Amino acid sequence: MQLKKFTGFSIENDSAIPLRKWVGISVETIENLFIQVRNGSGKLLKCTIVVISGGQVQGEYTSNPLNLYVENSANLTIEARAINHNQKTQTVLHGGDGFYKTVVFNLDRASVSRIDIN
Amino acid sequence: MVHNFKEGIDWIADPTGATPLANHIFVSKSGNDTTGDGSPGNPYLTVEKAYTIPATNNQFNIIVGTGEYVVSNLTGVFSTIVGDGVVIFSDPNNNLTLTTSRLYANNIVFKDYMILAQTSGGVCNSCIFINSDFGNLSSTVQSVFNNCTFINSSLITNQNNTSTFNYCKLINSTISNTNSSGSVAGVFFLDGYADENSIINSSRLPARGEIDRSNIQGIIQGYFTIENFFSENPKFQNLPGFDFTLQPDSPHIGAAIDGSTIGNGYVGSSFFEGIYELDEAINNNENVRYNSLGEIEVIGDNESETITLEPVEFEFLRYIGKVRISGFPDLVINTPTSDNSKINPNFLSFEMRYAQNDGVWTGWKKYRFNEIPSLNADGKSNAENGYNWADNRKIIARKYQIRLTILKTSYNAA
Repeated sequence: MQLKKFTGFSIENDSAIPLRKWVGISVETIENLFIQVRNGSGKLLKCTIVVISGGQVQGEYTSNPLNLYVENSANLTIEARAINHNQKTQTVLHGGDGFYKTVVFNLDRASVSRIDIN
Repeated sequence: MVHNFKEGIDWIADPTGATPLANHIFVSKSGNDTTGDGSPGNPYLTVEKAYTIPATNNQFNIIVGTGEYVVSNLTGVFSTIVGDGVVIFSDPNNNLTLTTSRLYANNIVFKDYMILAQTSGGVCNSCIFINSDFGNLSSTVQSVFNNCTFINSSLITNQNNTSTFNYCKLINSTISNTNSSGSVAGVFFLDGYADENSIINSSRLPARGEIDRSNIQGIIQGYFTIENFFSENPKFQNLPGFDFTLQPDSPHIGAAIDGSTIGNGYVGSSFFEGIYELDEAINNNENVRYNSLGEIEVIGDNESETITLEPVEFEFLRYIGKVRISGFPDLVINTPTSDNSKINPNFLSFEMRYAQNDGVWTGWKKYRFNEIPSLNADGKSNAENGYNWADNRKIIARKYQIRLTILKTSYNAA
């Protein structure tokens, strides 16, 4: 193998994302999925909610709360990531104060799930 | 003098970087063996000089700044040589013997060396050996290589102890321990990779070597216990360009004993010939090209050229990972010139800007290669003077863009 000088560069993926995520609510049937992202004070955050199912990004939504209709939901695992927009003056780190203390899932058909991710 | 060392500095106790850790000696291409005192601000010029400072058997750390050094003879026993940045020990005449009782080295590239004679054991971490050979290790002290890469190199010994390789890569290389007099096992090759042109040999009956959890495509000779080894395409991003980051479906990922990646690999994204962003950047500058070896070089009259890559976007906000330079850049002119004589030590850098969800680009800043792009709280980037490595904040971005300044005769050193 011939020695070579500068050939390019590469970037290692940093597997961390700059905020908490939760993975895996497994439900038999979800038709109307209602997602709220609130901070530790219970205030709705301006954020982007990314919904991933089957390893694929199904959509990014800037509304919060978010109402989704999910098709073919049997045995579906949904991963959702909430991304804060208000980044201009502060650095977001894992579990930083004021970020994503609580995420509320309101599931249709009277089932309510509350997930703390702090 | 303000310095740019990262390693060997007590950043916690003194965020200004002026205070070295105990038992650390510093070497830089801007140093001086006569007037220097081995401190970060006034380092020595040569590794040999630094090696003479510790009393025998004292374990000092010798911190060596970015650059290419010709090191021929190290008289000392236990000091560890630590590369701070891109540090290449090279021998342009390919006839030097690195003589040292034991070799302790971290993050050093050894190029065209014969490392033997009194060498007896030692520990090397994250080193790269190119066209280099170890030989005649005859001590009862074991040799340990962690996260090292061997390219066109060999370790051939009848050492009366183990030669252990953890998370190492062999590219067209041979490791062999043929001592048959003892009962201590010979070659341990664990969680590593050996390509189809490499040989692993251990002839130590009644004891046996071990090959565990490794991707072996080459030849195994001798006597081993072998567990969970396999032979598959490792899926490096670009082996000819010396990019050993892995594609997302590499069999190396998660194959190590602790669930980490064998061969000291990392999943990454390449920027090489054939990758759109880099090709476009080079095509857009008529004074930059790939030569026949796939190296990036400057042509024309200008001493330097800047190429700017297309932006890269993430699906969502992410941390930007470590940016590694690939290949083995010619650092000969890295000796400080009149223009950058105050840089101590030099480092290799690129420029980057980024944007978050609002899409507004930050300004261009310089960041060090082979580090995670990072900032201080005040926005200072890790290639700026006075950077505080105790306040190291990774960068969060939705998209980023990189540009490189390349010198005519070498990669740019700040």
